[in-house]
Parts: sequence; structure tokens; C-alpha cells
Amino acid sequence: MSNPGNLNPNMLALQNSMNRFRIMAIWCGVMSLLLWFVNVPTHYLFLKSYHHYFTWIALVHGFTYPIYVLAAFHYSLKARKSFTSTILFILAGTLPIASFFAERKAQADFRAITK
Amino acid sequence: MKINKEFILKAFAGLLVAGIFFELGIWQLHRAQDSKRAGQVKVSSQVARLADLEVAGANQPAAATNRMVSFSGRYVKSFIAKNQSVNYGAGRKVETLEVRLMKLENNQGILVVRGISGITNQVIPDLVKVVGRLYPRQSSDVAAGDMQSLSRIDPALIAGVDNLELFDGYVVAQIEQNQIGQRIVANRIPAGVLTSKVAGFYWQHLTYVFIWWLMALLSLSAPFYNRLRDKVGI
Repeated sequence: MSNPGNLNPNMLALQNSMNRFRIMAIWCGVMSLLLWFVNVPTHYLFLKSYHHYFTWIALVHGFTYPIYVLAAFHYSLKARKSFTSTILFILAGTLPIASFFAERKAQADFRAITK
Repeated sequence: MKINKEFILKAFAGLLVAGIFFELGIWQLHRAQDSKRAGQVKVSSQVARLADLEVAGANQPAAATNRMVSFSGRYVKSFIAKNQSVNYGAGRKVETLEVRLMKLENNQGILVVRGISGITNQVIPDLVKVVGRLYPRQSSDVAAGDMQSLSRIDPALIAGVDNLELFDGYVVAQIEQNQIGQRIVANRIPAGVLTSKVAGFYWQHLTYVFIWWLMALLSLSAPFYNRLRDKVGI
């Protein structure tokens, strides 16, 4: 990550926006992994009697995904992403590891801008 | 503001997509309300006549499910139902249940769960009055079935027996009395009110409402995206 001391206020705002997006992307990625590989299988496939221990996963993911969407939308606007990229960033929060890729992409883009 | 064809097309597409997302939100809102209602089942404790709640040969009305019912008839056939999960309040236990087909007046019939299978070949020749709770038919097999054993408690499995017109669902007997009012002994099982398992998902549906409506809002902003980007973007 770049040193904030070297950034002008605009870049600092972009970095803050990107950091918010990165935090939410990592959070949503972890929650998606839990949702797809713990919550859903115990609901439909196996260990069904233990499913009630994992119902919180869908709830937490459901409540935090909108925050991810807002963070992704704000970052996309700040970074002047195309509309298609914005949609892809938003959708990345619904797939298990896609948001991790989105987080890496955001960081790489930021590095390219500030180089 | 210069309005061109492209903008109108984008606005129309945005509105269309927003409308779809809004409707999806409404759908989830209804599901949330259904979940809440399902978790707050209130059943009348009054005992009703079976024939007043349900019609033989037709699907069980939702209002009849979970009601305490009474009816009289003669048992004409006996079955067992294996691997039945019985809720004892403190926990569930898998039991083998005794299920009998009772012939009612007007050549109608209903399945009655008498209790845990144990008193083998108990002969009950008299007219029997049953008071018990009415449940919907089971929809999935829990055991292998044959002539004496039901794979699930479902009147469809015995359709055609004695040419009876069967009531949908089954009754878990709480009281059986013979003609002179004596109670008939059986190893009864609890007959609690069935509640929906989806009640806990009320808040989950509400989160989906929020997500769909947020998506609708974002869709509405789509035609202005480029302008917004130019204003906010760095």
C-alpha cells in the first residue's frame, strides 16, 4: 500500500474508498465461503440436523452484502470504472472467491494509478 | 440537459431492471411475512367434528391442519409405520407406530395413529370414538413399505383398500373410547402443534428485501452513471 504522506488529497480519498472496498471484499469473501460451503450444504446435502447452528451465516452475509455493494459502487465511481466493471465488482460479492480477486484488482489498479 | 436517444434507452432499461428488482423485493417481503405468520401458529383448542373441517377425497384445507378432531368408526385394517420421528418435547425419538384405517359412516375412511406399536394384534371390534390432532399427509418415505408396513403416513398409499373414500392426512389419537365410554389402552404419542421450520428465516428474507431494493436504486442511477462518475471520480 502507498504511503498516505505522498498522496494528494484526491488520491487519499481514492485510497480511503479503496480500503473500505477491500475490507468489505475480504469480509464478503469469507462470508460467501461460509455460505456456499457450510450453510448451503448443511441445508440441502449433509449434516442437516446441524444446520440450525449455521443459520446466522446467511443472515450476516445478507446484512453486510449491501454495505459491500455501496463500498464497491463508491470505489468504482471514485476510480472512474466503467459501468460494466462496477456491475462485476458488485456481483463479485456473491461468489465465494470472486471478491478476493476484486480486492486484488482494486489494489493493483490503485498501484498503477499512483506509480 | 441534452436528452438523446441513448439516454432514453438507458433510462428505460434502468427503469425496467429497477422494476424487476423492486418486485423481487416485494416477493421477499411477502415471504418474510409468511415466515412470521408460520412461526405464530394459533390453533383453536376446541374439538371439531372431522367432517366439519375436511371433505373426504379432497386436499386437506390449511385451516383444518393441527385442529383437534373427533369422529367415530370401526377399524378395518392395521399397519405399522417404521422410522417415524416423534417429538417428545425434550427431544425427538425414532419409533415404530401403529397406524389403523378407520371406516367412518358414508363409506369414508381416515388413517389413525394409535401410538407406539407394541400391543400386537389388539382386537378392537366395537365402534370407536377417536379424539386426536389432524396432521397433513407425509410427503417423503422414511422406511421401506409393504402390505403391512407404510413407508410414510399417507392415505394415498392405501387408496383402494375397502373402496373407502379417504380423508387427506392422518390423526394422532389422544383418546379412544368404545361404545360405552371406556377408554381403550394404547401407548400414545404426543400430538403437538406443527410449526413451520422457516420461521427463523424472517430476518433473512428482510435482508433480501433490502438487497433487492438497493439494487433497484442502483439500477435507477444507471442512466446517470457517467455523469455521476465525472462528478465524483478522480
